[in-house]
Amino acid sequence: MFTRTISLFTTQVYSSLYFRNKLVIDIITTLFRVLLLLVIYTNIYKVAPSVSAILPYESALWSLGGYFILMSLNIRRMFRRLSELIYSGNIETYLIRPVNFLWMLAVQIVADHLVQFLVTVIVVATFLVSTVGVPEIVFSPILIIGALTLAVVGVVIELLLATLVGLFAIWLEKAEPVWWIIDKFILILGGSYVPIAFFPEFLQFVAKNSPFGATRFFSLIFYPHAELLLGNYLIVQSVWVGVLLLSIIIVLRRGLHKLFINGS
Amino acid sequence: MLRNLLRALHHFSLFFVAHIKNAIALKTAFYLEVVGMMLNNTAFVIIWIFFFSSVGTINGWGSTEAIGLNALVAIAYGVSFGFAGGASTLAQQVNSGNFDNFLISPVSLYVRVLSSRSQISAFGDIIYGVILFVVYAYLTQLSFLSLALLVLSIPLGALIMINFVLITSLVAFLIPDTVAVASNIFELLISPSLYPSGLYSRGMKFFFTFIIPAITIAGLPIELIANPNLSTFVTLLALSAFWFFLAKFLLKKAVLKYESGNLIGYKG
Repeated sequence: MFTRTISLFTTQVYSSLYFRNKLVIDIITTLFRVLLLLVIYTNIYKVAPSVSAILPYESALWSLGGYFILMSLNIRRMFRRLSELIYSGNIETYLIRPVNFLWMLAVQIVADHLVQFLVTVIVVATFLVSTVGVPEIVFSPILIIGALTLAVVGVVIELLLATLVGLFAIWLEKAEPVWWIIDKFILILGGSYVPIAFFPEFLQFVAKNSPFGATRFFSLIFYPHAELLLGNYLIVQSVWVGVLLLSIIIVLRRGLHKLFINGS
Repeated sequence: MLRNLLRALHHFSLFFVAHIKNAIALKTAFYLEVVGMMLNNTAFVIIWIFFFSSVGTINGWGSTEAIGLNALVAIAYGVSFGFAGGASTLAQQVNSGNFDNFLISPVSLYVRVLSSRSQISAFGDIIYGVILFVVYAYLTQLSFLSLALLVLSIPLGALIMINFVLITSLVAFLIPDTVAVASNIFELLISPSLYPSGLYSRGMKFFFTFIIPAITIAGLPIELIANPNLSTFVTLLALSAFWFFLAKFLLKKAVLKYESGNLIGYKG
């Protein structure tokens, strides 16, 4: 299983490098969006300096940067790949492969965007350090390990959400609208356009306890005193990983049963 | 010229009716898409209402203006992709070799490309946009002149959006496998258009008006209501004409790069 995964992962990474123009344009688009937010928020903090009391400028920009760094992995494509496989009937050819097809798709998607992700991390971090500065957080090994864990588990939660909704394609004529709504929940509660510190308290509570916000807990690490909430974030993420995994197992069992009956 | 325009509109209506009949055949999917899109769009307006209630008014922009902005973007997007959604799938048509069908069509290539698809979810955008528009008009107590200006600016914004999408899709004639690339480039227009233009500095406003015309879709018309002046409206009019002619010109040039896919298949 491990060897197969590694070989699949490596092949996919090499394959992603083949279309360099595509890679460059994808990276430029992500950077454009980060730059856009940088310019907008710089202007907001200039015009309304009182917002610094809600969230310091550096924290706001780094948290938005964090959101887009994770977004560059394009995990949301898991939904499209999976639903396309189901609608086309090609899923049957995946089911007979020696590696679990959901695992295989997840590995392919992560590997497909790994280079884009790494370049985005380097460029966005360098860009933010040189233009915005470093947020006022206490760097410690625990915080760094915690931040990395939040990022990885956040990606896993997004994968699980995309998989769960993708499996709905077995029952729905069109599962895309369901995904749009989930995607927008991630967009709002993950703090893409507006950092969640600007939200009212009840919405901040929802963001910090829902699976949608949990996908982007990594971006909250740049908030002041984030280290105090690190444990909380990890507990919430673990709970959602468990709930989503269980849901997928149940939905997959029922779905596969239905697929066999229909013969795709 | 009027005759050509009428002919184009006639073709658009024919294709549009065919697309709608096709979509309604799958009733559940049709309603899911329309309602799903309306719910999906609600996210953007919620974000900005929370933002402005937290930080107050910025450069004359508050929650009400954000509602107006979202209304205009949604209607412009809905009109563009509901009636002329073909531009968004042009890259796919070129990559698959399906573009041959467009070349042998007796209709003008520009019209044929644009009318080749109707995005059903776009009707959700239109309904959502109209609801928000009514809310905005009620909250701001729009005068007749302001209402007329806003309504007139919708087709202009839609025209700019359609032609910008068409131009970004033309990248498919130059680079292979660019479906995702074309949609990513389109993000350069749609993302900044969803931000209240009061949040932009003067330099950014210039950039997003004349280079990437993002704020011409909704930001500029909303500012036009707060500060009515003829020059802004004329600028909008001129820009929509510019993007229209540029798209037609570039389409003509890009087609010269196309090599037939020799795709053999049944076309119903």
